[in-house]
Amino acid sequence: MLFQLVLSGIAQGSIYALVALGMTILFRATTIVNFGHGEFFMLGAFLVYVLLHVVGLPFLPAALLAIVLMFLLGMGLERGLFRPMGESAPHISLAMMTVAFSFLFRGIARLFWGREVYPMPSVFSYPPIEVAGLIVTSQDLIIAGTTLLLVLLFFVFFRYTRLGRLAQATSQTARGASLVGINVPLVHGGMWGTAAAIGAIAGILVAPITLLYPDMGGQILIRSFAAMTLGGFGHLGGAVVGGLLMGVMEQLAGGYISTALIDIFAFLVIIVVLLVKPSGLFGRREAAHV
Amino acid sequence: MKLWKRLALGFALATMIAAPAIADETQGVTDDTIKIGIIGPMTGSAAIFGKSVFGLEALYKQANDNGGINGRKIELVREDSACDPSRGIAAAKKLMAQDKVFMIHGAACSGVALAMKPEIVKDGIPYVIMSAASAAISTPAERNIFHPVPTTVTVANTMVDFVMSRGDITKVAVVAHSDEWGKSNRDPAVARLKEEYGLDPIVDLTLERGQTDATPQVLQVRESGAQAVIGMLYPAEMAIFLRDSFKYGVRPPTFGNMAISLNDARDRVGNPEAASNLFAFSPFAHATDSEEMKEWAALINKYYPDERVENFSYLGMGGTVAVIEALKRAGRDLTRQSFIDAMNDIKDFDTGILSANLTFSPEDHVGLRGGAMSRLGEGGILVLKTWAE
Amino acid sequence: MSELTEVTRQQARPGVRLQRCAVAALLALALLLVPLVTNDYTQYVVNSILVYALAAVGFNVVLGYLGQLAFANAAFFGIGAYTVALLMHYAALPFPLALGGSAVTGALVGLVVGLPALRLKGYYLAIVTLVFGELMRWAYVHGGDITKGSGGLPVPEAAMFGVVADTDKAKYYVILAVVAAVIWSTNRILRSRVGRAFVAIRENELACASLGISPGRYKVIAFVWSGLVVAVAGGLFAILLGRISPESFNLHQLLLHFAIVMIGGIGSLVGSIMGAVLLTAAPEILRNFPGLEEIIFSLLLIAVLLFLPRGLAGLAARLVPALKERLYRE
Repeated sequence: MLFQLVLSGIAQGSIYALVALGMTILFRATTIVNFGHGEFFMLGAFLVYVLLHVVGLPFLPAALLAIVLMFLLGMGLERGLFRPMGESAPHISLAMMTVAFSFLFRGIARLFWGREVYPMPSVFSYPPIEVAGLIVTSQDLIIAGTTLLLVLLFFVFFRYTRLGRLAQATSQTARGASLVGINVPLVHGGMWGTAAAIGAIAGILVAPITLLYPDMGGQILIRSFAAMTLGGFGHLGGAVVGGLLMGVMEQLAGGYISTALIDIFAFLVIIVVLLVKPSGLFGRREAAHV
Repeated sequence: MKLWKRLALGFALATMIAAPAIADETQGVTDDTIKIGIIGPMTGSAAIFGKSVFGLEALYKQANDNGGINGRKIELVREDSACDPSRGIAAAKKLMAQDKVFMIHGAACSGVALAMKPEIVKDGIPYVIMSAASAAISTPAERNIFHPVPTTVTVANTMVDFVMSRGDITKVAVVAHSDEWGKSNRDPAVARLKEEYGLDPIVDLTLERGQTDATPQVLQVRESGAQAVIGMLYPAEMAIFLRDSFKYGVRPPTFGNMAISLNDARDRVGNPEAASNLFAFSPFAHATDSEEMKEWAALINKYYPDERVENFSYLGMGGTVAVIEALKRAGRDLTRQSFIDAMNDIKDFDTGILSANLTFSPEDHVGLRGGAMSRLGEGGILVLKTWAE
Repeated sequence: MSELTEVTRQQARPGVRLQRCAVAALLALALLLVPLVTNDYTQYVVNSILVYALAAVGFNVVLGYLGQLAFANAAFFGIGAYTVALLMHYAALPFPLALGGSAVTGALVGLVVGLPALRLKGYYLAIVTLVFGELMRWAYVHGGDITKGSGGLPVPEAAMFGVVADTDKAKYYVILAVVAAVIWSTNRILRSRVGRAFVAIRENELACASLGISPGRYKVIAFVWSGLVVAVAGGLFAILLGRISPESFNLHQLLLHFAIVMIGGIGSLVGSIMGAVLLTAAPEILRNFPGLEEIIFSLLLIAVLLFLPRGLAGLAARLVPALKERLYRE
């Protein structure tokens, strides 16, 4: 049972990692914590559902179109809601704006799809594979694989590409960046779009497992917070490691201690980490500048 | 001292202003209308159970189209509880104090029904439950509250008896949500296992609402060697449990309660084989895909053409048939008391949809004490009384 | 500077003072006579407004005046509610004592939350307090026979001065008395040296420290007071509903409080009251349009964040400039 739990934990954890990744990218680039990230997740999944069933597209085009649309939505949010607030807006207000649009999207989704729960077609073939007594589905492999791929991609992006370093520069000092000629609003818009797109990818991959309902984003949000906290806020690798660890620990706790613990496991992790070592596993201690 | 005395006097005066309004025995009844308030979770996380409301309303509208009740038409006022106790209380108060309805028919969420209960008991307004199952609503019996759907106790007993009817079962696993709904379903089942059969659950697990993975639970069921799994779960989580059971090759049959619809579960799991081992409690006499049930579905769609009829849509309809009958029997001289008396006179009443007949008496307002289990068979849904069939 | 002298001059003139007393007296009379025009349902809504106004005021102390992103409100609210319910149900304490009990527990929990607040900044504090609230809810659910888990804990009726408050109208007076008293006390605190310290910390913590105002001490005071106020609101909530269950203290509740504070006006007590009126009455008005409530709330919140940083209070101040000083602290 131990190995199966660990394996399942890695599969679950990849989901958390993927969502935490999206949130971390946005945080790194704009220092905004997006309480509405779960809704990107949810909207991505619902968009694919609509494109599949209402518009009638086949799966791959529908998924790609949904991702593009979500990217545009992310950019639109930045343009419409966050840019007007300005750079000097207090963090409170920015965080609250994310909460506000999170509720807006949830409300809209509920209006259309609140009464029913919608099953999504499985992304890939269903029968589970058995390897050395352990069972894994192709779904699990795809999710883990995609997460790994995206992590590597963004690591390379932020470290080695010019655009990535531009993004980092704007996050550290927006004024300084614009003085140097960087189009700060565009970079921010791009980062919002990227975060939305990643959220959508996670939603599309995961929806066949979780089934679609307007509140599906909320659950994943708390777990991703735990992943980010554990790994260290703002650290890409940390978010992923944190997510995987969360997944595995949750499964082990549920399997060996009590299934009643699974629900609050994320909370316990957050509290313990923040009280003991707020910077998490990989984060750096921040110094406040006068 | 003077200040205290002044305050006390002020309070006494205030309570005189605040004296409760006395509700009228014929409130909500006019020469040609009877006002009925309907409460259900039309929005929120339990909105799918709001489907039951359409079943109720379709029957009342049909009664109107068939000439009304003793020369009166039924006027419906629908309120949303959003499955939230404080919203439910507000809805009930609005219906009682503002809309001044004659009776309230509603509640799918037990939490809401229980929260509304004290107000309703105090007011004395007749209240018929729509589909909320908690036994605490109607036990001990209140003069004005009627429960025409199987309670969690009835459902649990039916499920456990069914499982044990196979004769060779000794290991039963229990998986439930830890919230009110889960507890009020799980506790009577565990109690029944113990009292009637002397068994404890071989594993007693929690699967929370909103969880997307049941691996730890399924693996523990597998390790335990359970021969049957009693699952007190909402539809989404039941689907996830079934899916993961299938994934890990865990084959003991799973038994769900009244919240589970076989077709809905099969759709959610997306894999007919994974759902083939599912039994669900059925309060209905006929399988939900049978010709007889199709008539009831047609009735709902007659008044609500866009509504996708599901198992949940039928839940409150049996009670509605009984209410309409009682309203008729109470005659032209319709008061709260005459309606309550008429309900108490309902004995062995065949609603045409429920799997057992309804019986009320002044001491016992739990109308149904039986049920059956259903499963997906070759040709469709089978309704079974014992497992051996 | 000139504004200050203007205000002091206004305060000194006896004519203005008489005017203010008259307004206050009229307001008090109007409040006392509310039950004459309500039925049980509208009275229930009014009672809810009062309770939420108090919860928002408590939240505002930390969110608006101290300026800390701390989301422990649902936790304080729930703890206050359960304390009153448990004390009245099991210890058969009379309501005033039970409410006092919830004030004490609220203050203690405020202390518990306030201490980590000294170390954690910004988002970390927000997340930890959010999580604390969810943990408390888990505790209510799994509190077994004590909290009666999700089945809900029935709350006996409140009795004050020998009179049982068993109707909505009677409850109104109880709730009104408590809410008025606590809001008045909060106002006194906020207008005192302590309140000025909160605002100073919000604006520039480091400057405060270098000026000799201990941020740590005042932060803890703010949390303790906030916890107390919101717990008392929770106790009133328990009386209002007559039966409390864990679902009432979830994230949705927190967000409601939050929306009330933000839309009403951060840093404004009157704003919190206005926000409570709007956000409690609105769902009732929107009853015929189920599902729109969430959307309208979030649109309101967005509008406030973009255009009305001071919320409804700010809007009122713009319309009636004379009220500006009374309405919020800059």
